[in-house]
Amino acid sequence: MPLFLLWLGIFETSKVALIAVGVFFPVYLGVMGAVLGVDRKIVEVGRIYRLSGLALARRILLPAILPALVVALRTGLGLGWMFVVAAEYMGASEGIGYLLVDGQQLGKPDQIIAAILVFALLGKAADAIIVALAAPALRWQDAYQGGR
Amino acid sequence: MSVDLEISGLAKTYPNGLRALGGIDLRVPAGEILAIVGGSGCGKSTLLRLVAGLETPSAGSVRVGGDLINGPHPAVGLVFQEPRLLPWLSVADNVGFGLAALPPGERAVRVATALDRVGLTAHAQAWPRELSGGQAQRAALARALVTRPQVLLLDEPFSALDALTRTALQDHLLELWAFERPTLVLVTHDIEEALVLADRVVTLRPRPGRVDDIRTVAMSRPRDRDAHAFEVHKRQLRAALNQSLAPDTLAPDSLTAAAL
Repeated sequence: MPLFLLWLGIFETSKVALIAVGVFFPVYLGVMGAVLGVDRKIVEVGRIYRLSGLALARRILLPAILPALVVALRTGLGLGWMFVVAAEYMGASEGIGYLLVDGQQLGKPDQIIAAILVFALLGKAADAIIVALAAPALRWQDAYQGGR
Repeated sequence: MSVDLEISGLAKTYPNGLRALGGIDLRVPAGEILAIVGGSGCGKSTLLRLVAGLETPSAGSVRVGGDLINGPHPAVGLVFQEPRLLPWLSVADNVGFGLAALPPGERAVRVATALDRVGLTAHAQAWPRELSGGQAQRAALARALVTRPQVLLLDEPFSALDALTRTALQDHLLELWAFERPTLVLVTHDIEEALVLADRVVTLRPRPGRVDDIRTVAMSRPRDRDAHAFEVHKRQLRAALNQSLAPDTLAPDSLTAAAL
């Protein structure tokens, strides 16, 4: 973060860079793990029908990793919110993270609690959007549905 | 519509030094049903994967209607031991998987015909997980047949099913085969299955896999599994299979004894 501040300035760019770097690798690792875990037997079905590399990725790999991709994105999003707080904690003059710092330094617990609640609501809402977007594509899943 | 399948000098040695196949020569004339039997580890699945173009041979060649196989070939269909339906596609979309190049209208007609032939029209929009084992394997058969392969390969297709479903599907396979009469190569460890379906039965000898015995099944179809002639064929094939499993060093006398 100090390097980002030096290189990219104290404005939005440095914070966006910090969040992007922090979120990228967990999501990347999650997706790569899923790709490597795709069942060879399913890939062979694609090979029998002579799918090209691109078609194999689109028609076999992508649907096969979609559940893991959604989980990785949800994890990344949660992590992203944490990085928002961290980034704004370290050098911001506005934003919810700044309100947290400001509340702490000026002794305003109501402001802190309000900021935490806003974070919680935003996080939950963003997560719900991903789940809702992915739901139609994941209806095929034969898994424990949490008692539904 | 079908073509000859020619396997000559086909050998496969894996990088770890395992000799799975040691020189197979087989000619399957167009429209024939050939069964390949053998003990586990005799290379029968490897043989099928080589013909399907999923693996490359260490030596020798496979020709389908004159075309040299060096990868999956459009005229060759394959049914695996497991259905291997794609869980994210409906049954109809699974069956139409190999028809992506066709216009949607024509694809729908072909898929509907295939589903009708395997009796799954009512399950067209179901998810694969909602099918029973036998239904899933019928869907896999439909997926392989909908592209109208001239050579159809089956790798122990019914071995995971219960005895009743297996018998029903064996008869069903013959009905499906009769539509287009593709050249059919069936790998199985089930003697009865080989005798019900095949025109000829090849017995492989393991380590490395090579042809031990080829016998013609001269019975008219449909074949009665309880008929006396069927029992005789069964006994002979079991003897041949036992002999193929006996170590190479045994004397001919002890081979006969082992077969009885």
